[in-house]
Amino acid sequence: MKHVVIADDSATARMFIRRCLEIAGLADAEFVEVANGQEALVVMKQSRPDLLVTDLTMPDMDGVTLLRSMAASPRLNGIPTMVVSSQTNPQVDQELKQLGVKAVLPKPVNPAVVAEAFGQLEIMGDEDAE
Amino acid sequence: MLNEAKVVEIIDQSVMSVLENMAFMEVCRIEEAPYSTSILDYWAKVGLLSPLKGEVVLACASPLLSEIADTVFAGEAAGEAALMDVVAELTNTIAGNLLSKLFPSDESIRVAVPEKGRRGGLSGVHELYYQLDDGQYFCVGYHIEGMRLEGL
Repeated sequence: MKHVVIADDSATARMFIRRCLEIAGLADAEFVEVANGQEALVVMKQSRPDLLVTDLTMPDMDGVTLLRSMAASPRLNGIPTMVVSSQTNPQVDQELKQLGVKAVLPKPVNPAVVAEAFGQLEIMGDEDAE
Repeated sequence: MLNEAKVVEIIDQSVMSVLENMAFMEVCRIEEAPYSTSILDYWAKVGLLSPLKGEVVLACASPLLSEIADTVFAGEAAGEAALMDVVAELTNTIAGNLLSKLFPSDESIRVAVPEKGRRGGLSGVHELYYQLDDGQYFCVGYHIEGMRLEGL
């Protein structure tokens, strides 16, 4: 079973992203939802996830600060990460990929776009393949 | 120079995309509010921080917000907090899309965390109205510092 952390300050966004992930192939995953980057760091240190999905604009600790903290942490470095944000463009995507992000998806996402991004993330093992 | 017609076009596209993706609702823009805006009692406001300053506001009536929340949460949560959260997320998405599409090669695009409230959120903004097939409507307002409200 895959372990997925979703970081977004909006419960609406978290629920919507979760449904897209489930439809895209992670129906049996265990999801942990958090409201900011600080909470994401705490839960990921407790249990390293197979996938982090994060927003950029969040209170207390934003997505970029979270990604920089992960890049600097041997324990969290390399976790497959997908950014889902309304603030994306080619220049921002490039900056995020330099921080180790594998996929950047603009809001609003949909299951088809998420499923396509799984190819870049390489998180789908045989047990998850449809 | 920023073109206001382009701003409106991007907001139109973003509103239609977000409602279709999140709530399976089709909307179209209408010229004026079909009935009193006093019913649009839930609002959220997202500040545009960089590379320009301004704000995007979305105001919506509780029955429409409840329908959207029921779709997103599959009927699990439709209380006051859920309605506020839905209107904030819709506004955040529209505001972020606006900057992303206006400035496709600028890495500094940034919006604020949404503010939320009840009643009176539409003051000082240019208002755009959107309607569903069943007659329900909502308003998206915007203000961009230095932009004249003409040329539409």
